Amino acid sequence: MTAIIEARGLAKSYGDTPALRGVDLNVEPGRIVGLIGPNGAGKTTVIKAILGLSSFDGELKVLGRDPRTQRNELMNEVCFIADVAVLPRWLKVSQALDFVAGVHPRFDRKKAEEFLAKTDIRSDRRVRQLSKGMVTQLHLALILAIDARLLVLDEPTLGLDLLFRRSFYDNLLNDYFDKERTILVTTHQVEEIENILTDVIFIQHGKIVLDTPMDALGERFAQLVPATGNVERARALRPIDERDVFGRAAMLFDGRDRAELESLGEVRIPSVADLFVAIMQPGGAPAMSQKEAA
Amino acid sequence: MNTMVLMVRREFWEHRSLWIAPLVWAGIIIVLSAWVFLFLIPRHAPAGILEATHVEEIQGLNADDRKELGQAIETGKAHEVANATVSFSFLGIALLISIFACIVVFFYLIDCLFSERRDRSILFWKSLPLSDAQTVLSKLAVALVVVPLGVLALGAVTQLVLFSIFWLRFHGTLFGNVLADWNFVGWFQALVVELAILLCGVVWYAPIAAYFLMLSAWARKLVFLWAIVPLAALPALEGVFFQSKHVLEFIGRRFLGFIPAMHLDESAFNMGNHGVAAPRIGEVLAAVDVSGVLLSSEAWLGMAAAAAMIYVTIRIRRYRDDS
Repeated sequence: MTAIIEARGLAKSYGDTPALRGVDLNVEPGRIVGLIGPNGAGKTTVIKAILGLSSFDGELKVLGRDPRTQRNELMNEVCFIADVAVLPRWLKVSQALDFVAGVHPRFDRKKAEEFLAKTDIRSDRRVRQLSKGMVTQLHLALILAIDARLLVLDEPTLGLDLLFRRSFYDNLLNDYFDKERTILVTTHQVEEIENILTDVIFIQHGKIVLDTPMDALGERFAQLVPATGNVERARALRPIDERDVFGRAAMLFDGRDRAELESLGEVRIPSVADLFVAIMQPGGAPAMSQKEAA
Repeated sequence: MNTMVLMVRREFWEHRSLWIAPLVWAGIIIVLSAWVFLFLIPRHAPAGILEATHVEEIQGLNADDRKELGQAIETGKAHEVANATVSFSFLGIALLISIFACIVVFFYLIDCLFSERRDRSILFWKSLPLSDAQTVLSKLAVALVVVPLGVLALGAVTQLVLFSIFWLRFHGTLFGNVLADWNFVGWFQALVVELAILLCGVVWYAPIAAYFLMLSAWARKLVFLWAIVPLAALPALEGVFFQSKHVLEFIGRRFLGFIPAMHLDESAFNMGNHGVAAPRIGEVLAAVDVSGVLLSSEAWLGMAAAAAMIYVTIRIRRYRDDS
């Protein structure tokens, strides 16, 4: 099957400041990929390149097309939500439906209306009269009704409360996602989306520092809380991160044999948030991407 | 095509001043004119003159006055003043609405590609399968096609409303019959003249519209100043440093040059040839020279400049990355 996104050596600078330094990506169909990194790591730059919104160096194919020169064709099959504030404030809900229905060949108006009927959004309202959460619901209603192959979400739930964030991702999974579709999402709220992701990519200082399927995460990384007395032996195995949790050391290992670790204490699969902190913190161990490791 | 229609409608959703402001302006024209017909003239006219159907019925005139008035009425009839009123009041109203529409369209053009970047809604529009060329051209079409046709329609409706008010008040009277009488041919000829003026105006103003659109896509802020200051500053600087006025003359020609170019000057209105100011619309229509504009090198250079600036505008919208 052909990759949805294929990038080789993406690079981009803003003036003297490099934003991307050789990013490689390979996203297969039917995946939900989380692109995760601290502020200024280059997430939005990657996304803008994928969507053909900004220039870059390197090779990039999205659905087999070059977003620099074939953006117009691409937008028939790619959808994105840039962040919560981009629906124009003067737009009426009914106008939004009329417009998208009129210009998008893959828009299913009935589906969008059904979704909106479950919310408190009235069709005669203007965007400026809606709460932040409702604006996102409206945007989601429009996007979910578009039969796109790739959906890109850049901080889609920024500034929303927990209830809206939760229902946003629930709707995304239940009403939208299927084997034919691919979702690329960036967010700061890692904990909330890690259970829906199939793949996770960490980006830092314009470079990919981790790129792994979620189901391989547990094979590669392990969190160990060593039994008292085993702490020094555990440290000798060179954890990539060590933290104190309730007075006990919690160590994160990359690529250690699970049986070996289990002999030293309690082992579990680390959360994405744990990994994020371990890899991204200043002086944190740079994990290699799985391809490099292989 | 359906997409283009929807994109043009979208402009009127966002920029409601495009249709509300001209409607309000037409309303003001109607109310002020009706006030003149219904209150101002009756108050100041000599008693009985407005109701009279013959000169003889007018009270308080001596024989000489009566004779003079009778002659004036005959002259007016001879020169078809009643017809001229129908035609030229339409052109006057259309001119008032056109000037107002130019101001509204100016603000529309400098704002339309600027506000979508300011509120970042450009990211929403760009998430839809609409090319930058389609978007820019839809905005140009609003300024150069839809609004001018709207001006024509609104001018016609405004004048018909005003004529109806006038007719209801004065029909059957001497005053009403001499000054204004419905004349479809004259009215239609005026409509054709106005259409010719709009066509030439649109061709002439295309580069100006493209220039404002380009600034709207380009300016980071203060787009109004970017649009206005060069037009004022360049002629001033040239005057100060070179003591010449070429830039001013150039700008003047780009703004008003189509009027002499289509021979729509005094001679077209035959002022003075009839002894009184009663131009005939048929003669104006015959004098109007659309090809004088459409075939002029100035119009073609302008169109070429407009095309170049529209191309630049599309490129800026496509590749600008400041959202």
